[in-house]
Amino acid sequence: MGRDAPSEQFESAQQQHRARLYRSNAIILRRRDTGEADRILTLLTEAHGKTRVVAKGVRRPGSRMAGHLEPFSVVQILVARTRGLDIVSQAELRSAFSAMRQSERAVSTAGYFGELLDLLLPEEQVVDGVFPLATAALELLDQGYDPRSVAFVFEMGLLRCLGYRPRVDRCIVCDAVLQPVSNAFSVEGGLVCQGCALARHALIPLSVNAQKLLRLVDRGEIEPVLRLRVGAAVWSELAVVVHTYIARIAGRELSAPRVIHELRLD
Amino acid sequence: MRPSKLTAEPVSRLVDELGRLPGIGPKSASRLTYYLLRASREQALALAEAILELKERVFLCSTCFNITETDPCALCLDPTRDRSIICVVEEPLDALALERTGEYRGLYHVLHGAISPVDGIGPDKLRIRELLERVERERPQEVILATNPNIEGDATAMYIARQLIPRGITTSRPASGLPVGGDLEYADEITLGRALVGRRAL
Repeated sequence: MGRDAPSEQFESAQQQHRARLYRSNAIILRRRDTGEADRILTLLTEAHGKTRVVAKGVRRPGSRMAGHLEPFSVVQILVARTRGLDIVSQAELRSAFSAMRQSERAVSTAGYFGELLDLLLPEEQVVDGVFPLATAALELLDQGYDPRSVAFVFEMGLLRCLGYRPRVDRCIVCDAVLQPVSNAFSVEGGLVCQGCALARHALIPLSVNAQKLLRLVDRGEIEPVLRLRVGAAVWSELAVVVHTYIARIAGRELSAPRVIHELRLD
Repeated sequence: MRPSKLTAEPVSRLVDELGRLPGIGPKSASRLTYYLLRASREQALALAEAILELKERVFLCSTCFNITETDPCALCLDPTRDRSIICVVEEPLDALALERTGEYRGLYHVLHGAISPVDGIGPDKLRIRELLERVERERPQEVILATNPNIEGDATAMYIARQLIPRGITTSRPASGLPVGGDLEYADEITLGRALVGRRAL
């Protein structure tokens, strides 16, 4: 049996490859115009992870698919495999998140999620937990939760799914239990105690309240994070930490946070 | 295209240049190149001159930022246009599309894009500051925010409206709804919802 397993795997992979159509739930992450009236969409699909497809003719006002393929909505799509880019053959809107679209802050936060997912996810590979996480985050934005708290929960969830969960209970240098004082965050992947922080550079100081939020999310206590009244200063502290950490992982600066800052939504 | 002993350097250079145009792949680029190679000298020169003139004689109007040969553009100077109303569009082609309807007699303002955080495009990369300055200067009665009815266009319209409303300017957005010749069954819920909200008495 041990000898058969790889060839069975190979055959099933081949069969999957031969399937010329597949159906999946998907979130549209970003899109780019191409050709006369077509668009290239970057999708997060439930079945195949992040993938790029062509939607033909969707820029024409009469297109039956156009309204179903707006960014940051959940759609059920039927995709035809081709030798080049796959082609969307049908699309049906599942959740449009209409309330989210009425708020500049919520919709630009969704744009930030799109950038993160496109930047961090591998192509054509399902990363467990990411699709439900992204759908849940969009739902929370749609329900009117503070986009800063939703963004924080989403960022930490995504980092965990990708294996970059930062360590927030003990110092990542000396392993000491962290005291309830202002400690620091290191892009190496977690909190550093005051003693170790003295001897190191490029650390980001974090207040006690910001550390508390990190720990709550780390323990999976999402509800309190969404419901707590958190000051703007704490959110910006956490944003600096998370954006720096993600930029380090991705190898480049994020652009959506800069745009959100430019929009002056505060 | 990779240089090969079989293709002369000017040929592969043109193939490369044409291949950079939107919607043109390497095969189409080669086909166009070999067509031009066989075409008359006059035809090839006419194309080359047209491209040169495009880059040398066309620029952006300093008032509305539409493409023009004169500054201000003919439309901004036209005394018959209604100066109390400015229509904001994303691209020059959108202004052209609105002009074709024959329903609009006001002025335009071209943003050259739309706000899109996912692509790193914020208000500072668009002609929004120029629009706000222009509105202060010209004090129109109404500004129509005719950005595309999609997520980026809606976000752009919301951002501009947020700046204009405190300045006491009426802002509006073109109605969105069912396309002529369309089918209710295929309409998505957002379009159908907006169409119902914006319904009209017969």
